[in-house]
Amino acid sequence: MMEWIISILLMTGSLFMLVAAIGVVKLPDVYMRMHAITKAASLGAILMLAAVFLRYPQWVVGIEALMVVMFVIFTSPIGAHMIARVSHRMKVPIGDGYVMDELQDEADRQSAERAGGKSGETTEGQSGKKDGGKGGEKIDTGKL
Amino acid sequence: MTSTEAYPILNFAIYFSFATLTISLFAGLYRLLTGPSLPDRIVVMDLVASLVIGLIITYIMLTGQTVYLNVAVAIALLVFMGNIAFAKYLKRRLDQ
Amino acid sequence: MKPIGFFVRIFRLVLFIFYYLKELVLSSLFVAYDILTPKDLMRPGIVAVPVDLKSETAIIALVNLISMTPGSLTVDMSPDKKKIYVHAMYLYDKEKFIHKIKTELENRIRLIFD
Repeated sequence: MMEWIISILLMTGSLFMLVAAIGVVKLPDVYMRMHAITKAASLGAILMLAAVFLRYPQWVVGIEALMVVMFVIFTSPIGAHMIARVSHRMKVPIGDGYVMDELQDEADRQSAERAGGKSGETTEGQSGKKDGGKGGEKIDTGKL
Repeated sequence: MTSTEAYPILNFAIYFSFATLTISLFAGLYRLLTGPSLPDRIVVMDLVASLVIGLIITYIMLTGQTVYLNVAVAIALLVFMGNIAFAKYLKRRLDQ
Repeated sequence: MKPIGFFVRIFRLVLFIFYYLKELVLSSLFVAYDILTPKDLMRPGIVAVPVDLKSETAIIALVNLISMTPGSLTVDMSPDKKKIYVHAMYLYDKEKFIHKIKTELENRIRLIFD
């Protein structure tokens, strides 16, 4: 009986990983590929770790599997968020069929304001400084 | 060598997931080679880390050597560091 | 921060972890279904969601939780921490999407961390 549960967990986990890989190939732009990876691949890893704990029910295996699960759960959204932020700032082209992009609207509005301002150079420098400070905060998100 | 010969269904599941994960690795390779931008390729790094964790787990199930879970822990940590390093690098390159 | 009982907080945290796991499973199934079917279903977009949480921990937890709910992924945060820009995969109704994040996720986080 137990081996059936283990087999089903193992196969479901690897199928979720296959789904994530198909998503990476098939989805149209970076953000949607990240949707596929942060969700499907981490669930696949969790299922497979549960399988290995059921197969070898020892303390060491349980603790290490729990560590991997915690790392995957807590770090994969943060990593995806940072890559998404920087790729939106790099102006990576978005796919077709977007309904709205309010972040791009906000950036356009700010750059229009900056162009409309009197002293272009100083505002440019300030905004650069602001960006640096924000990056410093972002690394704090790794504290969790 | 294998510790799973007593359970045919488990044996099947192990080889099935080996095959699935290998196909997934090739899908990731395709995206790595044709990805139009640099973030696409970084995203593939994340996927490949998950796939390698899966492969390690399948190998543990095949051989019974639970020591290899340490490798999975190390990979799960390293890929996060890699993500942050890539994000910082891209941002710095963007600011210049 | 009002001194709610410590054990009440811990109890809510445990409930929150179970909720998080449930969201993870649901979102994975959702994304899997979407990938395996033709992509006519998708209406992607990036929405600005206003937040009014104060502590850093609460905001980080909210960002994490948003990235784990079905079809949404945090992209950026405004410099004054008043808005979060969320990439959504199924944006049929913007108001409903924002309302869901505000009621389901933010209140839950506020009860624990804020």
